[in-house]
Amino acid sequence: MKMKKFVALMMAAATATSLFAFPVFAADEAETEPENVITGDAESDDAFVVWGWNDDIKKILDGPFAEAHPDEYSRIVFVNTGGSDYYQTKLDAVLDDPSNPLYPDLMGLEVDYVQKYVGSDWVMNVADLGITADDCANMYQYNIDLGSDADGNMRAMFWQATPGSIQVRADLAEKYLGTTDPTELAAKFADYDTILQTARDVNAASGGTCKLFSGYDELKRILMNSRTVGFYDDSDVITLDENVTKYFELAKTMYDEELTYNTAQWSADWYANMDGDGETSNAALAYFGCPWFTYWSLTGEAWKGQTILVPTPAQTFWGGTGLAATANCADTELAATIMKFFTCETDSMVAINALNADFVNNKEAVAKIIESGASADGNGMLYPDAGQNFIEFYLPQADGIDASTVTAEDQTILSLLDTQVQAFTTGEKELDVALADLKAAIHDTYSYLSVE
Amino acid sequence: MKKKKKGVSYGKYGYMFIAPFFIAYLLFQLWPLINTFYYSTLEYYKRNGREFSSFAGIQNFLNVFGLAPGEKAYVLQYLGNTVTMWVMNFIPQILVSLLLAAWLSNQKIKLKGTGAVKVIIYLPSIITAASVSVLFHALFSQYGPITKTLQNIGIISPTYDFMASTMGTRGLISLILFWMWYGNTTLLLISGIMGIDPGLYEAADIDGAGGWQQFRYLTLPLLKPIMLYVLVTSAIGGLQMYDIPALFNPTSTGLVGQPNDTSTSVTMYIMRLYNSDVGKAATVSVVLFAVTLVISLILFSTMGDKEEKRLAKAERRRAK
Amino acid sequence: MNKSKSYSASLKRQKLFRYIVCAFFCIISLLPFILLVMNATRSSAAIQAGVSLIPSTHLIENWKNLLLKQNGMQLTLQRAALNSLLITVPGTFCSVYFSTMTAYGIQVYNFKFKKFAWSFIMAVMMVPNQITIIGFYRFMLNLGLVDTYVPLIVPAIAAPTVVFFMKQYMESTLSLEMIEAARIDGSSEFRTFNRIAVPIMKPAVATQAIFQFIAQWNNLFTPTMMLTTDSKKTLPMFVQLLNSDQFRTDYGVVYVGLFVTIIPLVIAYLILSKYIVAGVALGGVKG
Repeated sequence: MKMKKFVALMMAAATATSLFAFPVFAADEAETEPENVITGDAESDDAFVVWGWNDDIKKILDGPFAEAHPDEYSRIVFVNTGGSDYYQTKLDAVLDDPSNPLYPDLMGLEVDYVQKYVGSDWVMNVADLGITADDCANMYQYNIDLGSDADGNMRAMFWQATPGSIQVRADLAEKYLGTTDPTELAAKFADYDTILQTARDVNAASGGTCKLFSGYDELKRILMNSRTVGFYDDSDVITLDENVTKYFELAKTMYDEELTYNTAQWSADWYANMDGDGETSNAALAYFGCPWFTYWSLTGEAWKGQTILVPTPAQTFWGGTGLAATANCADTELAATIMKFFTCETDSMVAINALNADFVNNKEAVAKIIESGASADGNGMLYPDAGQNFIEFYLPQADGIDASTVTAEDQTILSLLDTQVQAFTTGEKELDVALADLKAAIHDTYSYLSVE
Repeated sequence: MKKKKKGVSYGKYGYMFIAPFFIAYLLFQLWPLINTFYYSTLEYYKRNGREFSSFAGIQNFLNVFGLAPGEKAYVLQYLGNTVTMWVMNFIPQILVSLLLAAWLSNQKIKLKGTGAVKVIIYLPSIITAASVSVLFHALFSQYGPITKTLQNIGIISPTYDFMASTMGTRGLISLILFWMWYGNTTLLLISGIMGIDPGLYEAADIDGAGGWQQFRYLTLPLLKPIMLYVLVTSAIGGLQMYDIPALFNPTSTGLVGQPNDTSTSVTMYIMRLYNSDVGKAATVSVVLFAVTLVISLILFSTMGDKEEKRLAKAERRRAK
Repeated sequence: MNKSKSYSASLKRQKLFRYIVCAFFCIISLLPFILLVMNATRSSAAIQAGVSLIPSTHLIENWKNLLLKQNGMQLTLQRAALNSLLITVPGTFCSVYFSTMTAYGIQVYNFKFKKFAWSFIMAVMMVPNQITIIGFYRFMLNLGLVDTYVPLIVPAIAAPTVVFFMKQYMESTLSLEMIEAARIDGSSEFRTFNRIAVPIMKPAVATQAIFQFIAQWNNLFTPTMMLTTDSKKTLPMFVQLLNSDQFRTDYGVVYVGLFVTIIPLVIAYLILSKYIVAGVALGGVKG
């Protein structure tokens, strides 16, 4: 008994020491990485609170915005909720509570649910902020549509355009597909059947240690964001586009033939496959992506100077963040300043591109960027021998984006879709059962959407 | 015996002493319960941040049981999931606990270090279920170290993924439940065995009954009340299971227990709906309440007043 | 002679077998903790390679990565632990103190509804909180108490299982003569309760305090519904974050995060195990 107590006490002491000693280390660390530290004081009277689910917005605030508007910048309090999973839940709660010191004045909204907020009473019409149609003249039309409510009032504004691409890792492509030429690679991703064949080729060439994709869900966004009908029609009846069926079938084939590792997007295993070498560790040769995906997700060493961009088999896009001022925004002037800086002004948007090589939602800025050759190599990400220009590549893709199928409920519906796709691929359900169950699940979550 | 005389003039203090409990109970349990019943009669949901509510009668109940056109009986499915995972944990749990309890309390074949064994097997049940769940998920995920090791030594196929298999996921959730609670059950059963009159065993010895016979005809019947207690608390606790399935393998949004919604528990469903569809969430709660009530009633009718009193007496004795 | 020899040999075999089985279950109970500690000291790549019982040197590095990743987030591990304490300590006090009081009221005094009160407490003992949560949440929403600690602390006053336990204990330890003697000395009823009854109840109070603390510390369901502001969230809710985008890209960080949420509990348990194990035998916790 004595001994046990002694051991326990020692362990307690060790843990206590570790708990209190290490934050000292961390404080040192934090000083060298100031961009991670929260700015602003939520208690101060003129605090301007901005919400986001990651620090994408914050990086632009800390960088180009702080440079251009230092006084306004010092008032900003940034709330990073850490992960998009429960962002809506958190946001809805705080939006119902305007007296909360962290009630947002401005917030970031992802495409998959931006329409929910645009259609709510929580956000302000940008016209009330003094932003005019002229200010938005250089925006891509699809982004204007995404940020507007049913009556055509714009209420959220985007700073990115997010045309889709397939991003191929050059060293693995050389080894298992025998080419790094963008045109030859494009031919291998020309349509869905060709992609399946390419996946089989990679499997055969590598013996299964390298696969074309980490998971079959790499195809999900391509198919879902090129649908011709949304998940429900004008009378709130649930509709499933033929691309939904197509996705189920492709996923099944890829699963049955073991063409991927069946990982889920954003899972640890999915990330791990980015960094594999394809021999001693599993690796994925290609990822579905878009401009922000390159700087945001493909950050591992394996992709530096190795990324080749290939067009998707259908015109598509992925994500994008809208900025919206809240109904009880404390300082509409500052909200307008930030929104214009992020989404309207050519010069500032060129600066945003300089920060992270993003494709900005401003045609004039994009032209300038291409002309100046800025971020031509995607900030060192592109494979030099392929001779691609990071921004120019996306130009035709961006022009053709159609986001008219996006609904307010997409994020949840797409997550319900995953469940059914998995059940179908593993053979637990027949296709028609899985599709019927998907409709039932959508109706169960949103009772105002009806099955028939 | 003589307390009547003493207590009587101080009666008002009795009310004062029990008042905080009853005020808190009425306010935070009973009133919410009544409200939950009320909400279950409403069509009450949110769309784009706006609330809509209207009276719906029993429509919600028809909907959740799949009796209305276009509705699927998710409640029954999730109740099935929950019960399956609970049963898969409870059967091995009670068997192992009985065995360990019999051995650890055996006075004839005395084992050394029983104290340490008790301490160790009880340990998992005090750990935060959320942490345990995330830990097991990390160990058994597609590329987790245990999965990898089992693949390497050929116990499971190299492409097997626990998280993609219904049996794998449910089995692991049951395993976690078993792992967390079998120590607790063992200790409860030991206390039950210790409460049995040693004279009975002496008599059995004289009659020449062997170890197994004594266990079968003496220990087991006398353990019945405490086993029922274990069964019912575990069943009621099991019906509310939330932390473990909710953190083990859900989708990133929406609390859908993967794979294929087969590890979603009833309380996960309530959690999924509570803010967006109040009427349905309340209806599911009422269903859960009814099921819990039925189980409790079965307990009370099986156990009877006599056994209940004896159990209380045994507990009192142990308290000394 | 012969018979007793073979009997003792078989007894020995029996014993050995039982030791092996007991040891097996001890290992089962401890193994996940051992793997946790080992993996917390290993690099992300090494963890992926498979199970290993040999510790490595990456503990501090993993811990630093964890701190780095939680940098700028509203909820840090330290903050979450503090929040859990801020809820659990007053919550434990409420449930133990008021339950003792309730049990005392029923045990010591005679009043008209005494029997009814006791039957009521017995009857609602099994009713779980989860099923009233919808009404509870809306009620708190209407009172403007969502996203405060009030709904997590004050309802702990009504804890039927604790009342039941306290009453059982009182029946065997609290003598009415003692209370009567205090009355004769002029002690007020509440003073008698606080100065005489509570000290007598100390062992039961300590046991129940431990179990209530554990139960409330580990609670995930109610805080998940009630708390929306990140900086107010509790430790189990932080654990949930370990599964989110922010952390899950680095296995080492996940394990070290779990390590610091689990190991202090293990240590506290080992120190208090004597009381806890004795307490379970009294039916202290529900499964």
